[in-house]
Amino acid sequence: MARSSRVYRTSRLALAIGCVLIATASVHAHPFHTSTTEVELNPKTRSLEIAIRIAVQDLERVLSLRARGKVRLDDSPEISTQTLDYLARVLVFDWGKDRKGKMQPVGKELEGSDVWLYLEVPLPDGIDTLAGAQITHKLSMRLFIEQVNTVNFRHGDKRCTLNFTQEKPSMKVEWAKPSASSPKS
Amino acid sequence: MACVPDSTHVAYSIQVGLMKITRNFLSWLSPLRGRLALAGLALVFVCSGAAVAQDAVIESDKFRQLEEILPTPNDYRTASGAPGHAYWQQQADYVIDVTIDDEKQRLIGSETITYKNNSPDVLRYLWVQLDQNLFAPHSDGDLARTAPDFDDFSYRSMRRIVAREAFEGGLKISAVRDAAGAPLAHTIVKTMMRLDLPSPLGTGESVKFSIDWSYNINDAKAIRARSGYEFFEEDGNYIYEIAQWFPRMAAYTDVNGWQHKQFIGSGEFALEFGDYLVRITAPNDHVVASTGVLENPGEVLKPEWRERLKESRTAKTPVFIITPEEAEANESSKPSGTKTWIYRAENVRDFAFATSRKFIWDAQLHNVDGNPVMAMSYYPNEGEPLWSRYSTHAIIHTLDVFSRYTFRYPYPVAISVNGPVYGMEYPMICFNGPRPEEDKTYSKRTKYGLISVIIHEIGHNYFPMIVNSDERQWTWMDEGLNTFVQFLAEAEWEPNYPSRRGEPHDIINYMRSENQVPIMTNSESLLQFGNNAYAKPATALNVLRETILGRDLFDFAFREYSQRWMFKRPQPADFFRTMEDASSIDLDWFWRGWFYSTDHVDISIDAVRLYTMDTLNPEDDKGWEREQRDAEPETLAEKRNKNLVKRSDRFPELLDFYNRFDELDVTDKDREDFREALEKLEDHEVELLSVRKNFYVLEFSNVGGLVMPLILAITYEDGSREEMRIPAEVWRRNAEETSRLILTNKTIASVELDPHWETADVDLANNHWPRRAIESRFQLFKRKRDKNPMQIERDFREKSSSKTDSEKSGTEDGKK
Repeated sequence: MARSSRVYRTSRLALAIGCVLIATASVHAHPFHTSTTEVELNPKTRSLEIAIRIAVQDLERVLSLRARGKVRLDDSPEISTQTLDYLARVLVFDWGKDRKGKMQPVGKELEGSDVWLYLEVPLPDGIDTLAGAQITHKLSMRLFIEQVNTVNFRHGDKRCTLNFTQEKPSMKVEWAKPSASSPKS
Repeated sequence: MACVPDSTHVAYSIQVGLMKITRNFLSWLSPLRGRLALAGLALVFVCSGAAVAQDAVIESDKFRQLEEILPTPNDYRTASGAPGHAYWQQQADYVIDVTIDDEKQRLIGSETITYKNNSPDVLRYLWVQLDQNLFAPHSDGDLARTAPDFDDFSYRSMRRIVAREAFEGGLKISAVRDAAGAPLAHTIVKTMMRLDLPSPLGTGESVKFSIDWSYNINDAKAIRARSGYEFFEEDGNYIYEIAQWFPRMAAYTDVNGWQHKQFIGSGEFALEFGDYLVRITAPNDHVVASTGVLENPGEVLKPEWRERLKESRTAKTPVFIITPEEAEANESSKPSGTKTWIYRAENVRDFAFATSRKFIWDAQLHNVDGNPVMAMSYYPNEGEPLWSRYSTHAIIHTLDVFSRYTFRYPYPVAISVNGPVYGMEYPMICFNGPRPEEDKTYSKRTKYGLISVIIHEIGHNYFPMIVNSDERQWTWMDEGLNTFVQFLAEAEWEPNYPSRRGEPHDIINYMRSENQVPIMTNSESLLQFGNNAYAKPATALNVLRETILGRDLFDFAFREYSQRWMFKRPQPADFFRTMEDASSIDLDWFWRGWFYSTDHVDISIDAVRLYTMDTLNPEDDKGWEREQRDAEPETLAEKRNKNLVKRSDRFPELLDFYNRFDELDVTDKDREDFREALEKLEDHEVELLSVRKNFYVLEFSNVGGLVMPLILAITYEDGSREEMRIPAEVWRRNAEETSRLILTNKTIASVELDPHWETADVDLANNHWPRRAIESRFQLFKRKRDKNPMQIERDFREKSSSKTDSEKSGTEDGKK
C-alpha cells in the first residue's frame, strides 16, 4: 500500500516518543491541563515552602520529551535530578538585582493519578517578603498550549492567587486584603 | 423569651435561660484562660439562635430565593423544572453515503437531510455546522491560538505547527441541492453554513435537501483533535476514528434560537435528535465499528464472525469475534475491493464510526434492566493485554451503574474503540486512548486511566447524548454530572478505586484560589475551565448527595431529572428546579453558593462557652469557687514570701475578724438567705434549679462565604464521642456568624468541625477547638521524612500490606 509523502512524516524516534506519549492528560478530549501550587513563606526557616500538584501523566510526558526517551515516576519519596532540573528551570523566583531563589528538593508523594512535589527555596539574604518578586511558572507549557498553573501564595494572613498561562507565564505577587472575618484574636 | 440581666443574689426571678456565670470562660481567645477571676461578672444569658439579623444587603443574602435570576417559567419549561406542556424541539433525519479512501486518507460523503420544524416559528433559513472547517487554514480556532514561546520551542510544537500549515484541512462542499435536485442558495461562514430556503418553513413542516462534500482526514496525533487517523509505521496501516464528519444541522431552540456559535475547538456541540441511515464504504479487509445496528451482516461479516457474535449473546464474559492473532495476520492484507456497511440508528443526536484492518473485536450481550445491549470493544494489538482484559467489562459496568442512577440505557449497542483520540464520546460509540507499553506491560496508572476513561465516555451516552444539554453553553451540565456519576461507578468497581475527581477535599486548592469565575459562566472561557466544568460541579453534587440531601433523597431527585429530560434539552434552571421539586428541600442557597458565586467553604469554630445554672445553694456555689481559687497555682512571689517573717507573727493583736473570715466560707447568714429564697420559689422553679446540665454555646463564623451545614464531632472528657449534623439553615439569619446551644451532662473536651472532610473546607486550622496547629501539607511531608529508619521501615511494611490487599482484589477479576 503506497504511503503518501507528507511534509510531516515522522521519524522513527519521534514515532517512538509519540507512542510513549500517547495518553494525553485529560480524561476527555477537552484540551485543558492544570497544576496547583501552594507557596508559603515560612519566616522561621526563612524559606518558601512549595507544594506542587500535577497529573503524573503530564509530568512524565514533559520529562520524557526532554529526555528523548521514556521517563516514569517511581514510588520513592525522592525527587529525581531530572525532575529537579526541570522544575528549577520552569518555576523561578526572582527578587531582582541578581537575587534568584535556589530550589531545593524535599520530596514527592503519589496520590492517585496526581503527584505532589515538595520543594524549598531559601530566601536570599536581606529578603523577607514575596511582595515584588517576579514569579515565572511555565510548568508543562511547552507541551500543552492550554496549560494553566494556579498558585496560592501565603504569608501569615496575606493571600494571593496567580494563574500562569502561556500568555502570562511571569507575574508579580500582590497581596489581596486579608478577608474581613479572619479569626478573632 | 426575655433575657434579663441581674447582678445580685437576692433579687431575682427565675426564668428559663437566666443564668449566672459561675465558671470561667473557656474560650481559647482569652490569654487568661483558666485564671479568670470569679464571680462579680455580669449575668449573661443565652438566647437560642444567632444575633438579630441586620438588614441584609442583597448580595450577601445567601438564602435569597434563586427565582430572581432563573429564567421565568413558561409553556416549554415549568416552574418545577420539567418540560412544559408545549415543549418542542426540532428533528433532523439523515441518509448518508460515505467512503473512506485509505490511499489518500480522504473522506467523501453525500447526504440527504430531512429537517422537521416543530417550533412555533417560521424559518426562512437554516444553519448547518461544518466542524471540519476548524482545520481549514486561518480558521477561527487557528487564529485564536496565541503564538508559542519561541524561546522554549520544542520539536513537538514545531511538528504540530508545520503539520497544520501543510494540512489541507477543511470541508470542500461540492453541491448543495434542494429536494428537487436544484441548487440551493447557501453562504459559508467559517464553521457554519446558512441555507436560504426557497420558501419559508412553517410550524409542523419538513424540508429536504442534499449536500455533497469531501475532506482530508487529519493526522490525529500531529493535530490533536477529536477525530482523525493514526498511522502505524511498522505495518503501514491506519486506524480511522471518524467524527464531526458530515455537515449537520445546528440546533434551534426555545432558549437560544439558532445555537451557531463558531466552533473554535474547546466548547462542544449542540445537536438535534433524529434517525440515521448510514452506508459506510471502506476497503473490504477493514472492520467497521459504528453507532447503530448493522443492517447487512450477511454481506460484510465473515461467517466465523457471525458464529462468534451468536456465541457472545449468551456468554458470561466477553468473546473474541476477531482474535488478536487474526487481527495481526490481517495487518499484512491488501484489499481487493470495497465493502459497504449499512447502519441504522434511531433517536440519536450524532453519528460516529471507526474503521481499520488492525482491529481485534470482542463482544458480550448484556441485559440492562430488560434491554439487551451488545457491549463491544475494537482495538489493535498495540492495546493488548490491557484492552481485552478491561474494556468490555468497563462498558458493561458503566451501563449497569449509570442505568441505576438515571434510566435504563435505551440503545442497542455500546462500543469502545482504541485509537489516537484519548477520550471522546458519541451515541453508542466512544474513542479511548490508553495503551500499555510496547513491551506489553502497563502501569497502575494506565490501567486505571483506561477504566476511568471508558466509564467516563460511555457515561456520556447519558449526559449529553440522551439528556441533551448544550455543551457549548453549559459544559458542566454534561461534564460535571457525568464526572459525578463516573465517581459513583468507580467506587463500585473495586474497593479503594483511585478516583481522580470526587472527594471534596481534593478541590480545596482550587476553591481557595482568589480569581475564580463562577461555574455558571460560559464554557469557552479557558481560565480554570477544567475545574469549573468537571471537578467543582462534581464535588458540589457529591456534597449535595452525601452531606445536604442524603443518598435516598438525592438519588430519587437525580433520577427524576434524568428521566424528565431523556431525549430532550434541559437548561441549568431545569436541573436546579427539579432537584428541589423532587426533594422538597430548599436548595437555592446551595446553587447560589456553589454555582453562581466563587465563595469557598471556610467555617471556623471560634469559641465554646459554658454556662451552668446558678443553684443558689451557697454550699455549691462557694464550694465551687473555693475549688477554683485553691486550684490556682502559687505565684512565684507567693512562694518566695512564705518563709519571710511577718509583722503579724510578732504582734498577734494585728489579726482580727477579717483575717479569720474566708469570704468563701459558707456563713450562717448565707444559709438563712438560701432558705428564704427557696421558700419564695414555686415548685416548678425549684425543680429547674436542680437541673445540673451544662449549657454549651458554640460560636461559628463563616470566613469563606459559602454556607454549609455544621458537621460536628464532639469529644467529652469521659472519652465518649458524638457527631452532630446541623442543617445549613442555621446561617439563615446571619450568614457570617452563628451559634449553637448544646445541653449535656458531660464536659466537652474538644470540638471538631467537618471531621470527615465532607464540605471542601479550605482551612482546617480553624476547625478545631481548642485550636490545634494544623501543619501544611508541606510541613506534614517534611516531618514524615525526618523519621528514623526503623519508623520508615515500619511505615513501609504497613503500607505494603495494605497495598497488596487492594492489588489482589484487582487481579482476581474474570479472565478469558
